[in-house]
Amino acid sequence: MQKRFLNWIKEKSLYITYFTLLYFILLTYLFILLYFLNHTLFFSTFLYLTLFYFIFLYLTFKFTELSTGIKRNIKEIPSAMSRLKAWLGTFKGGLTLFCMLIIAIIPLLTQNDYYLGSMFIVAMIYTIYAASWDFLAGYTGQVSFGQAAFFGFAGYVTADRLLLQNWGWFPSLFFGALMAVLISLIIGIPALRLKGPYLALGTMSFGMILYLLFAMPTILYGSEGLYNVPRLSNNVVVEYYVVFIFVIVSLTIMKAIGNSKLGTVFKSIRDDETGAEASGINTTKYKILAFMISAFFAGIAGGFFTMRNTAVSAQIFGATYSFYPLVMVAIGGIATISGAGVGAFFFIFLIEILRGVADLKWLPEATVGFLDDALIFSVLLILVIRFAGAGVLKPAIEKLKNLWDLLLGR
Amino acid sequence: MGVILEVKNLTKKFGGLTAVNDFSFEIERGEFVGLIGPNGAGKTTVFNLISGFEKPSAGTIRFDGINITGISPYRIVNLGIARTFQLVRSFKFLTILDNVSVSCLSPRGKEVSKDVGIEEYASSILTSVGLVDKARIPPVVLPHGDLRKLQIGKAVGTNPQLLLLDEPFSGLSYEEQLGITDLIKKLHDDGVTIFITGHVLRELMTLVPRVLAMHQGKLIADGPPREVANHKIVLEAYLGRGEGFA
Repeated sequence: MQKRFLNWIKEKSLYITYFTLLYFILLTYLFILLYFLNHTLFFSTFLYLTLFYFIFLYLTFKFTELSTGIKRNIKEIPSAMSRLKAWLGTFKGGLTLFCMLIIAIIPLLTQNDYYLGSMFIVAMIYTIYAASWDFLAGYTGQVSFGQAAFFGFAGYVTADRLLLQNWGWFPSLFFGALMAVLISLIIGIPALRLKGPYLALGTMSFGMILYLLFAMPTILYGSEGLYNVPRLSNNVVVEYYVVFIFVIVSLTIMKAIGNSKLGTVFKSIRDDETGAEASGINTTKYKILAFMISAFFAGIAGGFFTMRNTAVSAQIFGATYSFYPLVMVAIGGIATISGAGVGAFFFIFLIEILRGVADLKWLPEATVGFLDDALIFSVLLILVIRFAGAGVLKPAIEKLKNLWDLLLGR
Repeated sequence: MGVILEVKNLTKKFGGLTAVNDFSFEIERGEFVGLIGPNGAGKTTVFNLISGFEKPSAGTIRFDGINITGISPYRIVNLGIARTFQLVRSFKFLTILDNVSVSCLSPRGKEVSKDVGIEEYASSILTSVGLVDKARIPPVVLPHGDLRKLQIGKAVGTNPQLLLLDEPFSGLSYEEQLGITDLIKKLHDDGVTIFITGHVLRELMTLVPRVLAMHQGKLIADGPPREVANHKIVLEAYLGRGEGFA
């Protein structure tokens, strides 16, 4: 009995250590930052972090008996710290840490509202959004073309709470995400009976239904939607760091679920749904669960997006917003989660740079609208599908690793 | 002991075709039964009906006294009937160990594996099917014989009382067949009731003490292999109508 308990603790200890470390690092960071900026957001962010920390721990205890994500021998269980060290020692772990550090110090280099706000924050929001789509499509194999339904609905709910109910940003955001989960249940229970392209069409139609409903002139906030939604903070640096923390937390949760036993079940449904049923898995239940988790994070992204734009209208349910995550994940590589970040940054930066090109006036005026997003993402998608079917993240990491090995003379 | 599987007047129609026609039989707990018949006789359809992947047009299936007619496949697995498929199925992008772990994560699998931990339980299953040294590789690189073993491993992971094996020998070399045969015998010795279909009659006939023969959806013979093999209608079904066959 005691031995079993010890084994159990040993088995879980990596996750506990990892999450606790992450929690305290982020907390310290946040504390230093907000202390110097003398800001009032500290308490709610602290609450949010704590909440997620406990959600992490709960998930750890519930689902991570089989830590398939971490390569190890079946017989012996190495200690948590050595496994964490080993991960950070690998090229991938080091690179992840490096990228996180780079993004963390960006506001020290520039505090320009345009660069920080319109590019980095938006890209980070899209990272959560695209990762939520990747979670559903990459891990569970359920391709949804109606992700904007969750994104937009949560955006509306968050705006409603903030603007009309005078809630704080954190409860509004959280409530919005929970409502997105509710919508995902309503959509998911009928839609997940469909498979493959039919599911894609079904979810797309739900997105359109929401678009039409919210575009009506008299009901649901009218056709103009909600505007003058308060920003998360008037200080763009604070906003940057809050979103940054949410990105890390959200992506880590999704990655951890993917590597857990629950993730194994999700992936089995992706690989062979009939086979999963023959293995005694209630596929409908797990598909709905994946849908809900995905909707939650899409909802978080939607709430941030609304706060960033200070307005929300029915356009947010449009097909463009459903296809964005798809393109981003295609660029980054499916079933990687972190690839969504690469895709989102690449895509948003490209759009912003090309907007600048369009401003140069050397193009006919009529093309300016086109050079907007639709054209860019169509061309991009074609290029990615032709030249990098598996996305750019995995091949890029391999190339970088080879280069690194070369530099170190290995 | 008692009856574990009771099939009564089972009928399945696909449009105008009656694939299974008024099929009735019983299997006792701990038995080892074969199901033979020429191509298109309806063997796989019978398995699909029992395991819930197809809904019968008429008739009832009772497992351990519970009516399981027409309920969903995963519920049937969770009552204790596991099956393998004629064409190998695997979770392509999961490791061999995870392929089996998925079965161990089903409610029945969890029950037996909770004491040792799912990973350990799954690897013990891999040991028994002889794939433990390949635990960390994905199934796409496995040879066909190993995939057949993996099929059985995945079914065993759900801790079945009744195991339906659909053509476990098809496409295997003689040595590979022997390996699978030993594996199935071992499972039977562990107390699992086994119901098996097959084309390779020689293998099947030496393995099982009782054989059901079906032809055009109907049960035509039921008894020990030697008796069934010499049954007139069975010979006709396999070899065509004629004189002079013993």
